[in-house]
Amino acid sequence: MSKPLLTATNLVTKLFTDSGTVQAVDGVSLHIGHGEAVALVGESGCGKSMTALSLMRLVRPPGRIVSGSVTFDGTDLLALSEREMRAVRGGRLAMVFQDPMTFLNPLMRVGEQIVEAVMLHQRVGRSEARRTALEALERVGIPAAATVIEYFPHQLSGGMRQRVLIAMAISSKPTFLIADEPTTALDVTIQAQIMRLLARLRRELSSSMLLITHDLGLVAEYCDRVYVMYAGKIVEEGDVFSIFANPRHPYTRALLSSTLSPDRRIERLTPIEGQPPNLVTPPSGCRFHPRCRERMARCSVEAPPDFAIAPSSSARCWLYEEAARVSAP
Amino acid sequence: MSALLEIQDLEVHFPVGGSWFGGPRAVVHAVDGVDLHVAPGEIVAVVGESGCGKTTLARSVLGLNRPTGGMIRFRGSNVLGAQSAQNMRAYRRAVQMIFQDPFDSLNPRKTVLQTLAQPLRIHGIVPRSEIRAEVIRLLDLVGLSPGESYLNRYPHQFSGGQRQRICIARAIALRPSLIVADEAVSALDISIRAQILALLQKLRTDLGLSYLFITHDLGVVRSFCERVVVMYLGHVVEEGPTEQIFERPRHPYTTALLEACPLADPVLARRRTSAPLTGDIPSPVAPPKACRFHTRCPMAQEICGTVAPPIVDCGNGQKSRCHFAGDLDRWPKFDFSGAKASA
Amino acid sequence: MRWSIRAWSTGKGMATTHIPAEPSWWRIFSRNRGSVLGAFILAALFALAILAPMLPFEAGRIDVGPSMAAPNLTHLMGTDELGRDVFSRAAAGLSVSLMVGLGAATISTFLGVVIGGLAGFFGRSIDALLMRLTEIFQVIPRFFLAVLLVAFFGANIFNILIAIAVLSWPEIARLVRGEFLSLRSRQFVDAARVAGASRTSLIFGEILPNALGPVVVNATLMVGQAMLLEAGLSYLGLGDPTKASLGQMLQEAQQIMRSAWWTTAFPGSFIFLAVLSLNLVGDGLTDVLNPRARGR
Repeated sequence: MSKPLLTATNLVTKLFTDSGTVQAVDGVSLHIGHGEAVALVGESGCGKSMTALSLMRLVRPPGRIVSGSVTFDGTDLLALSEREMRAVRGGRLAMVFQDPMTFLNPLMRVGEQIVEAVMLHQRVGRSEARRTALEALERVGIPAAATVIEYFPHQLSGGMRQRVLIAMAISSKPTFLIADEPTTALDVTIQAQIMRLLARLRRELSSSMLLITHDLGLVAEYCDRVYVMYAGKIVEEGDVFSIFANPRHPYTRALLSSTLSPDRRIERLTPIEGQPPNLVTPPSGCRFHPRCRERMARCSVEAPPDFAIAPSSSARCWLYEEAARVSAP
Repeated sequence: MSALLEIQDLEVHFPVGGSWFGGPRAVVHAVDGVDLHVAPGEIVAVVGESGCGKTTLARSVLGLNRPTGGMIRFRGSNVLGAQSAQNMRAYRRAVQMIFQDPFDSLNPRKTVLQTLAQPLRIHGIVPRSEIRAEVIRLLDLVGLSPGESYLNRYPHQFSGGQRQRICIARAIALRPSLIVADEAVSALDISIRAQILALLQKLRTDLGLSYLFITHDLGVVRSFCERVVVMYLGHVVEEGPTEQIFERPRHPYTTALLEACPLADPVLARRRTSAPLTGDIPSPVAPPKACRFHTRCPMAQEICGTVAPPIVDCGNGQKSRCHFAGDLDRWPKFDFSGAKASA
Repeated sequence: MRWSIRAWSTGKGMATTHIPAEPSWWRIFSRNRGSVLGAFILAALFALAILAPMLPFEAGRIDVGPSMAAPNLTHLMGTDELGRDVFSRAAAGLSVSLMVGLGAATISTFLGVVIGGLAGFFGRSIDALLMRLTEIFQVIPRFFLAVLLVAFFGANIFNILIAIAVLSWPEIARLVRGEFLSLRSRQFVDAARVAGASRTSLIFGEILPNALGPVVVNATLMVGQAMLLEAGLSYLGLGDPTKASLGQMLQEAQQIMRSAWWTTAFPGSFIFLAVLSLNLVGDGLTDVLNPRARGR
């Protein structure tokens, strides 16, 4: 197996707040290969957004990356200076966030914002940068790009703004794209357009993607591999088909059975009981045990490690201790 | 069986812009001639994207805006226009609402007790001395037990799911017959969403409620709602029993929605071949002429831009506003993988 | 369509899992050390103002001590050229200044809340009308108008108070209007309407309590502003001659400022401390009143 493009090993990020320390990202390890689309799935508060921010070193106080390593294309990102990181971020490592309005400067024309980004990352002159910006806008399917380039963000619809963000992201031909809930605020038909666009661009640029989302439908359609996150930890990893057909971790199973998809009608729903845990004082042992239907006595005492069941397939659950032992050489 | 709620030809137009001195104003045609009905005990979904008018419709039903035309009848009596205070009170008791944002729909400075006591006090549902006990009972009904421990807390101390339960408790406090839920579960996590939907279903059975369920999530519609009304730019473009609509939609917009919505099945999702709908949703200020969908419709013909489509009865309660709805060849059984041929 | 009965009941047991302890007002307030300091200073100043009549020397009485005496053990803040004890005068002056400040702030807040609230709630033509009115008052230079009003209506403490109040309300009105405009479209207001709440109940029960947070903070700061405005008026000789305020003391001490620094330094310090402590307290109040409303 070729070397992955991005690897995070035992990443730990904490939030030091007045009411206590939040274990937002608690020992997360993941890897994304070249050209792969990987999903990081979980519900709100599970730490997936904080993981994305940590990968890009965008964590602000009261948060701080405490330990772990992030290697991108052979470079240890956590060891870089802020200046060096800025060259990577927005360049080879691009990102698209949920709310375009928080990302775009409302007082600057959209074309100008892309030009700025291009000039910063590609060290070209203004006219060259403008050409690149125009090309990027056309590439993301914005009609009449030459006119739109002069628009201010508020003159564009939500879908258009998201396209502008994507244009900014791809203008530097990134090898890796992190998309954090890129379509949550959009209508369903616009969402489909944007996701298809991302898929097409990925193919054209041969870049990888880490998609952070809570929408399992998007995961099913656009991602090759899945990491499921719960309470700051990765609880399951697997390729998309096996995760959906044969989920291993009880949380993944419960999540899938609570998901309502339009292709089927569910007569009897079995929602997960209880609520997501408090990350300041998480439950002892396995963090999911208070809500788990299959918990054993051991689960409340000992936190299970991540058991590798097959290459690129693992589950953080005591139920799989045997399976891991068997499959290990 | 007479309908509980009957909406006929409802029209809600809003003026926008315009100066103080009465300059020219634009008009938002938020709801433009909508017919809808809800039978007792039914759960009817209203689906659509931004600008379709579903939220405006919901607010009209609850008297939160003033329709500019048409009629809303509840249990046979007219609800719009000048109403006596008594009639309004009776209507409020019978029709209640659950809003989208559970945080925003609770007064941050009121305790749970104060919030839930308010409707009880206004309508005198129970004598003053029993209000506290009644609030506890309501909290129990929505799964927040023991009720006493919740009474003196403020909204910001609860999670999203708990807040939505409090909102549901408020909605059922007046013992209504119809609850309008405007994206009531959209802001919640998947696992909490399932809990709340199950609660709503149980309350329907136990309290004999009907729901007008506004949503954009077709997955929820399929498993939770019996009938669907699809809206686009202020018009109802299709309606009918849920299973029927999903199996054989008879309007290109419905088909587009079904083709675009995320599917939690990788095998099925990857077999999809159809291209998504192009273009942005037009503004409700200047909707397209004749068929409002024709600018984005994959099967649009010349007639679509010149003649407004009639409402075609497709049988069994299914109706579609499309020139070609009656042409069965165009509407094979819907397959999520998009394997069907589109015109 | 049957749903698992157990499903709805998953609410049970959620009661006390993680409802965080609610920090008290004082706890939030005391996080800001400046505010605590300000609160103590303010409390001390208030105490002094209230206890002023009980001080050993009568405030305006001349010749209670040697003229132009520097601060000593008998006269803690010295005496002025007429032999009046500076400390007792300053304390009395402080109570006058505080009274004017509080009075003006109260009246202008009340006016501002009423006008801003009506404008924000009803919108459209009422809003337009009231805002034009507000703008008229805002455009006129405050001090200039104060001077005119006082010169026209006479310089007594009451007129000064009214003049200051009349000039200060537009700021609060704008603030309240903004809060009302944003609050009236919030979902909880709609929810109360749907529950059957009357318009009055919506204004007073739902919107106003949520709008008052910034208003209280602003009103606190306004007390300081009013005090300064009054001091300025007195300094120009437009103060009430019968009630010596701190500004008046400054004006009278102009001539002897260089030879008797204590006649200006102490009254001036009182003004400074009062306004500073009010600002610090107002700062702390922002934290107390806002996050509860906006916190998630």
